[in-house]
Formats: sequence, C-alpha cells, structure tokens
Amino acid sequence: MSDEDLAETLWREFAVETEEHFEIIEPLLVAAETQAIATGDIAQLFRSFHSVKGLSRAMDMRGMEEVAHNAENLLGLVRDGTTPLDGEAAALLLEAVDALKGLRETALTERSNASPPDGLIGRLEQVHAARAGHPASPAPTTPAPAPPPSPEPRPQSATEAPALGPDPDMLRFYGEMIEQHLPAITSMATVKITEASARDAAREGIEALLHATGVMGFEGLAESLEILRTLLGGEPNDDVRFRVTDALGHIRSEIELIERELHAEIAGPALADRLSEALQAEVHAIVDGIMDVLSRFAGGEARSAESDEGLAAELAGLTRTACTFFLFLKLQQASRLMLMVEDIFTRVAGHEMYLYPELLVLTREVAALLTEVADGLGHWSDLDESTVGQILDRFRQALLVGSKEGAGADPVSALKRVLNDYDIGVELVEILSAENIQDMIAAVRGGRSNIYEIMAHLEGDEQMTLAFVEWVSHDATAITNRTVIVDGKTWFEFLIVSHLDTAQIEARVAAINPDGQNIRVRSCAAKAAAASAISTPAGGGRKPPEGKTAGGGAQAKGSNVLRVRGETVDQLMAQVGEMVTIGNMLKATVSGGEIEGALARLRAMACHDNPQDVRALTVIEGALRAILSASDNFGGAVERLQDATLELRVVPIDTLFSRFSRVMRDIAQAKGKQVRLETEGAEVRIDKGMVDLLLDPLMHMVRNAVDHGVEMPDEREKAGKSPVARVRLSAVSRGNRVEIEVSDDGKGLDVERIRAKAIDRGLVGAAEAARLSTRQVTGFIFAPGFSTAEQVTETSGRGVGMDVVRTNILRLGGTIEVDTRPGEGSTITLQLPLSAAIQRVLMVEAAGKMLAIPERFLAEVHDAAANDIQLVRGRPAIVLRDEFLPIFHLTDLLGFRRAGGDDPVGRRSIVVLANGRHRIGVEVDRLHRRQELFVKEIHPSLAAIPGVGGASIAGDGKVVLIVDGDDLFRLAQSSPAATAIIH
Amino acid sequence: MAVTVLVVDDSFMMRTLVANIVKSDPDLSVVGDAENGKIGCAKVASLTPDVVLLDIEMPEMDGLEALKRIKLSSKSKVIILSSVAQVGSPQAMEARRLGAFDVIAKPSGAMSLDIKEKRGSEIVKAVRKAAGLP
Repeated sequence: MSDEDLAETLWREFAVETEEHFEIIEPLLVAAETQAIATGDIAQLFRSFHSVKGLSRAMDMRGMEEVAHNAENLLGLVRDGTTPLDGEAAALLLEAVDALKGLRETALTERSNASPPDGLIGRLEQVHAARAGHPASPAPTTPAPAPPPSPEPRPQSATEAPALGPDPDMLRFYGEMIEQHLPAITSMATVKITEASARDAAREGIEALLHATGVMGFEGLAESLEILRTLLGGEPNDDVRFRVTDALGHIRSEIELIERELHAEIAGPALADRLSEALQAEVHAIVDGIMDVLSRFAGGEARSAESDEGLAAELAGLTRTACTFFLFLKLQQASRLMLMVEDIFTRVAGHEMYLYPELLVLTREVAALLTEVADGLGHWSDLDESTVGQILDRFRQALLVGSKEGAGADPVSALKRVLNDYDIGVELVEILSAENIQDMIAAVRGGRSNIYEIMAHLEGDEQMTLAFVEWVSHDATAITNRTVIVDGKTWFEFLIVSHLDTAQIEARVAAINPDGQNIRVRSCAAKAAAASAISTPAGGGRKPPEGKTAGGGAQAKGSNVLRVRGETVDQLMAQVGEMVTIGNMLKATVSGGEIEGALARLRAMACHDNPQDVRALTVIEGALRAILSASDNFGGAVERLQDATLELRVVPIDTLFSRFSRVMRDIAQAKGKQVRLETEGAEVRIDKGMVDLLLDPLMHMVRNAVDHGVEMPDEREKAGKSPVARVRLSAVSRGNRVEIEVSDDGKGLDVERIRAKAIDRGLVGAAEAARLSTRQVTGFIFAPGFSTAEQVTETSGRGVGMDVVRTNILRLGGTIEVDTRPGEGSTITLQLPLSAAIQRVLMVEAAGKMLAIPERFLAEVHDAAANDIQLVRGRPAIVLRDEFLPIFHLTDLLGFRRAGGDDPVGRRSIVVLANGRHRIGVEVDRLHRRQELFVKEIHPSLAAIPGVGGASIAGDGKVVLIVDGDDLFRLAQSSPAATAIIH
Repeated sequence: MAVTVLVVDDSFMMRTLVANIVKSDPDLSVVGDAENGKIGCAKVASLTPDVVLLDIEMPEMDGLEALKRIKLSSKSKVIILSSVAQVGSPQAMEARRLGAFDVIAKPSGAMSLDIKEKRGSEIVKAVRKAAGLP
C-alpha cells in the first residue's frame, strides 16, 4: 500500500470509527443525565473516549485528542468509583462530544487540526480536579507524551521476571489451563497411555503447563511435571503408568499446597475429579481382576499348590496396585485394607501361609467394598473406619489359623498343602478326604508326628492280619488305606501316623511279619527321601501334582487381555493386506479360465491312444480342481483373518468424541451461546486410523452447529426452547460400517434460502429447484464454496465449508447426508467404513505401471473402437448414450510419459469416472481386475504426485499407486481445452 | 525468516496503521490481527507469533488479561501498545510486572510520518528488540 493509499484508508477509517464511538457515547450519556447507568456502560464510555483519543492522536488531531483525553480522565474517576456519573458530569461530557464532533468535521474536510472551544478543557479539568479531591494541576498541553525508552535493563524472558504466583487473575487463568490440559495428562495414569495419540496430547499438555508453571514460579510443581515428561519419554508400560500415578499424586499435593498458601482455588478439586474419573475405571478393573482370581480359586476340586500360589501372587499384585491408588487418592482406610490383603496373599504365594478358606470369603467381601470405593471416588469418600477395622480383625484371626505354625481344621484343598512337606505317595494323597486330613493333623498335633506308608499282603494269614490290625490301632492312627494288586497279589496300602520313629516301627513290623515278605514300611517324614522302602505298585513314580490337575488350565486363562504395541498391529495389518492381495492374485490366476482353456485345448490335442497323456491330463485337471478349492478356502480364511485383524485396530469412538467438548465450550463462549454437548455410543469401536482422519471433518461440523446451527439464548427462549442448546454426537455400529450423527436442536437450515442460492449460483434451474425435495435442496450445502453463513466469522472460517468436509468423507469411502427441520434443528449423518485401510479398486495399467482406481469413483467401463473417439473442440471425446464424454489418457493426467504411440485402429479401454456432478472418460492401456487393496502409508514424494492418493503393494511385491478420483477431476478440468466440455 | 507479529487492537484503523508501520521493516511480517484480547489469545495459540503488539483498552477481554493469558500459554513476546500505559502509570508498571517485554505509546502523528521515518519508529524498534534483531 502506498503512503497515499494508506493515508486515505486511515482517514476513511478515522471517520467511520470516531462516528461509531459517538454513536455509542451519546445515548449512554443521555441516559446518564437522568439515571445511574450500569458499570459495563461506564466502562464502555471510558473505552470509547479512550479510543477517540487514540484515533485522534494517530491522525495528529491534537485538539480532539485533548478533549477526549480530559473526558476520559473524568470517566476514569467514575470508573474507579471516586465520583458518580451524575447529570452535571454527563452534561459536560455531552458538551465534549459536541466539541469533538465539530473538530472532527474540520479534520475530515480540511485535514487539519483545530483548537477546542474556549473554556471547555478548563471546565473539564476543573470538574476532574474537584471530584478527584485535589486542585487542578497545570494540565499539559500534550496529554499523552510518548514514554522515553527506559534505560534500565528489561527482563528478557518470563523466567527472569518476578514470579507471578500471587496475582489472582494469573492464578485463575493458570487454573483454567490446568483444567484444560488435565484430561490428557491424567489419562497417562490409565491404559490410554499405550496409545500414541494419548501420549502426544499428554506431552502437549505437560509442555504447556511447564511453561505456565515456570511463569508462575511454582518450582515444586514444575519438578513433578518434569518427572511426568520424562516418564512419557519411556516405553509405556504398567510400571510407567504406576509412576505416573505417583507423580500425579505429587502434583495434586503441590497444587493443594499452593492453594492453601495463597488462599485461592486453582484447580485442586478439578484435578481430584479428573483423577478420580481416570482412576475409577482402574479400580473397577482391579475389582474385576480380584473377583476373577477369586472365582478361579473356588473354581474346582482339582487344584494344585502351584496354581493356588500363582493366583495368590496375582491377587497380591492387584491389591498392591489398588493400595497405591488409594494412598494417592488419600483414601486411608481403603489403602489400609489393601495393604492387609496384599500382605496376606504375598505370604500365601511365598509358602508362608496356608490358603485358609476364610481368607477367600473375606477377600470377596473386600472386593465388594472396593466397588463401593470406586463408585464413591467422585465425591472422594473413603471407607468407614469401623467397617475396615472389623474386616481387618477377621483377617488377623484368619492369619492366626492359617499360618503354618498353627494349621487348623482346614478343608481339603488347603490341608493337602500340609502334606506337601511329607513324602506321601500321590495316589494316597489323592484319596484323602477332608476328615482324613483333619484326623491326620489332629494326630500329628497330638504327638503322632511321623507318617508312614505301609504295604501289607495279609491274604490267607488270619493271625498276622489280627496282629497287624491290633498293632496299628494301638501304636498308630490309620488315616486311610487302599487296595492295590501287585504281581497278581492283593496288597493293602495304609497311610498311618505314629509317635514311633522308623526303627521302632520296623521293629514292631518285624515282630508281626518276621520274614518281611508281607509287610513293608516306608517313612514319609523326609520329603527328599526318594528311595522307596516299599515299592509303589501300579504305575509307581511320583508325578508332579500339577500334571494331573486342572491347575495349569486355571493359570492359562489368567490373563485374557494382551497389550500389543500399535505398530505391531499395523505391521500385522500390512502383512494381512498383502495376503489379501496375494489371495486375489491366486484366485484371478486359477479361476480366470485361462488354465482351463489351455487344458481343454491340450485334451483335444492329446493322443487318446496314449494312456500316459490321458493320465497326465487327468492329474493336472485334478490338481487344478484342488488348487481352485484351496484358493477358495484360502480366500475365506484370509477374509476372516482380515476381519479379526481389523478388530485389533479399533478403538472406542470416545477417543474422538472427547476432543470436542473443549472446542465447543470455547466457541459457545466466544459466541455468547449456551451449548451442551451430548455424546452417545461412545463405546462404538472404530479404526484407529479413522479417528485421525475424522477429526477435522467432525470438528468443522461441530463448529458449524454451534456457530450457525443453534440460536442465541434469548432467541431460543422466544422460540419456547431451553436457552441451553444441545449438540449431539452419536455413533452406531452397523456391521462393518459405522454411522456417526452430528445433530443440533437449533433453528435448522433455511431450505428456501438454500434453494434460492442454488438457483442464483446456477446449480439448478428455477423450475427444477421448485420440484426438489428438502433433502435434495439441503444437499447443495456440499457444493463447492456454497456457504449460508450471513457473515464470515472467527470460528466458521471463510468459505472452506461443507464441500471440503464432504470430499474428506468420500475420500474415506463414506457418505454424508444432511437432514433438517425448521425450528427443530439439523442432523448430519455420516456412514463410514469400519476401516479406511481396505479399499475396493479396479486395477488398470497405464504408462507401464499398475494403477488402482477406487471403485467409488467408478461409473462404468467402456470398450471403444479407436475411431469412436472424435475431437470435440480440440479435445478427444466419445458419444456415450447420446452424451459427449471427454476422454483423457490416464498417463497424461498423471503427467507420466506415454510408453508408445497410440494404436490407430485397436480398441481403447475407457474407464468412466463420476464424482456426482461430472463424468469423464479416462483411457487406460489395459484393464485388469477388481480387487481389494490394503492402503499403505504413502511416502511423501509419492503423495506429491498430483492424482495419486495412496499406494499399496501388489502380490508380486510391486508398488501399485492408488489414483485419487477427485484429483483426476481437478487435473482434467485444468487440462487444456477441457473446461468447455466438462462444464 | 521474518519475525512474525500479531497486532491486537479494537480499532481497525489502528490495526491498519500499526500493521503498516511494522511491515515497513522487511525483517518483520504481520501474520494476523485481532480485535480483542480473547481473539488475540486464540490467535496467539494458532499463529504462535514471535511478537504480539497488544492494546490495553479493549472490549470482551482487555489487554492486561490477555497479557496474563499469553504469558502463561505461549512464548510470544508481548509489547503493550497503548496510550493508557504511560511511563510510570499503574498500568505500565503492572504490564511490566506481568512480563510485558516493553510498554510503548500508540503511534501519533501518522500523517506527518513518511515511510522512512516509520522504519525507524518506536514500534519497529521495540519489535526488533523483542525479536532479538539489531
């Protein structure tokens, strides 16, 4: 802009803006002459005079500047509450306005400064001085001298500036920032931390808060944030999550400390809420985990020591996590309880304690209490101290009974553990009942602490039998017995406990059976004693207990959730995608008919007299059938594999929805509207890749809904609606598609205005427009550059509107529709594929390259003779169903070099593309097949090629470029001489 | 790379004038403007300018509040450009305390300035200094 132009602009704006300010000032002053006006109005008056002063000063209109300055000074006193804006003051100020208006006239017509009316400045100064309570000081003629450059060194950065902690506004803004970034940061304490996008959001939040915290000078808080930042840099795992929880706890304490010291509320409660929200789910997960482990404890007869210990260790781990959570949440009672449970199960896991059944009962009660804690996290309620005390007492009792020093009357599962220390035959242990074991323990405690296995073959010797039975009942307690047959002889195997030692027992046995042939004794005292004094018949050997129980199975089902890195899934997905492609290739090859044709020909030529020929052909035909069938099966299997893999990539759509609440609040606030965001179907799952791609289009729609869709509160009330508008995001899963709706309860689209505008724009003829349904008319909002906004606003951008949204949605393979009811609101419905990664395409060849055209752009494929193609206005075209269809060669559109000259007589393969408004014919060198392609991340240098929207790997490992249909239309339109035809 | 500047003032005329003065220095580039503190803060977030020229008296959100918010949320240097903020005035002191890089008066006598003088004007000097330029 030249200086002259600039001067003109400035004068014009000076005229406009000063006029505007006078228009604001006058009615307010008029009102103030008779009644007190609102504080906001006084601030407005002050600002307007202030602005006039600044404008005048900029234009060198010193007279106006002086008047405005004095008026502003007087209003400054009013604003401070030093003096009221009474009739006298208002009248004087109105006089000042009149003077300003006169001076402005002179300024505008003569472009020169004029002096204010005599005496006005003096009177303004007098009134100011009188009301300020001090005599008028000699007023400077130049009221606002420019400050000289200050000599003292200035602080160069915020960190060198004095700490700003105590400023109440700063504290408030700081609190707002904390609240803004809280969700992202607290999500670090949840499993979300494994998602890259969540980590990015958290990192962004931490950086922002670190900066702000530095400005505020809260060093302790900054340290904790630094720790969080460091933690975020590491591999996300449970340990990191755990330490994050700890760091967040510190942050919470720091904030509370600051709040106490400064007697201000920053964000303590919000932080607490956010954290409890984030942790609530975690606690629920812990409770579920505990219940799961408990159910497995109770789950079966057949258990083993190892599985029980594994389960106990699992329980201990779960309760340890819970304990830390509760400590951090300052739930003393709950963490006390957890500490006890953790301690008990750690000891059980470490063989220090028996798993006394009461422990399980108590733990179940604890789990129920935890559910209570989780539900109460929102309002921070701890468990009742006496409840916890009672449970702890019961735990202590159980501890006494369950500890190994005092094993009590335990039932089978726990008691058999006692026997682990003894070297007792597995088969015998197996048949022990609870009573047996109780008897045994009672006997052991009663002093009969030695355990023996006795094998007795007593058949046919009544005397020996009687002597044996008498001896056993006298010197020992028989716990159980069983019959075994060894070498055709029947033996009784006894398990006895006795106070006698091995030598004594052997002596007694020798007395009954001197030759030792019929009675054999084995001591079970030492676990390590492997040598058997008696042979264990029928299968011998000591099997490890877990080998024959369901314990292993119970362990295996322990963890049914796997955490896998996102990249791993993407790699898997890419591999599956290639399998899909290869499967398609295989199918195309074997079922393409070429092999069969060749075979038929061979069979016709084969010498039927030669049985070897015939056999060879039969073998090949059989093999072909087998390959065909295998190919079909393979295709089905790959498809299922692909579905299963897609399932791995999906995340709840909430990760997308949750990003809008903040944005919406801001826009609503900026617009003075009241809007509530409702979400539904947050649990609907969607491909992770789609989340990022959908963010912008949805953001645009949400902005639009708030900006244009819903009305101002007073308008809404007039229309009989709640002043608080509703914008709703909902998602429904429909098979392999997801339906997302953005709706509002605003005024709805003005269908007639859109209709008029569509006619105006030449999008539709007037007659036809009249016949169009509401839905057809509203469809026009997706036309390029079609915007119904009355004015361009900060939030809704400038013209890049719904057409861009539509293009993006189409690009994702989705559809978009809008529905509206006047006065009731609008609904935009998106239908999207579950994944953007798989696309159906038509494979073509051009310039010696394999290219894929997405099916959604495909109208039809046409096979034209070379001489069907004619020049229309210098551009090749064919007539297809009585319409000219411009023809472009794909090679030309993509800017590739043609491989060879056109075949002047051959047939041409034309792919007809349609984008809803236009159709073009795209000539290719060769048509291939339709298939599904897995779209890969595209290299930036490929993405830069106009017309290319993606890439994939073909079955043979070659790169296939995926053509972007929209780009092709643009390229076709910009191609020479094309415009006339396409439009 | 040119130093990026955001101009926040409720007067369009003032924004035009200030932007022109800033732009007269080839090392400086005006990347946006805003008509009040609220929009100003939003634009600081989206445009991340090196320097913000900030008026004090504005509707919606005044310059001091905007200054506090910008100091908390960004690394942009803030120069208060206001006739309220005379040297030694409470506002000027407050602005300094809050971390304003500089406090200078609004341009005066724009009509008598020719382009060469603009280049040497106080606004340009302050912006250059804030951006670490000679």
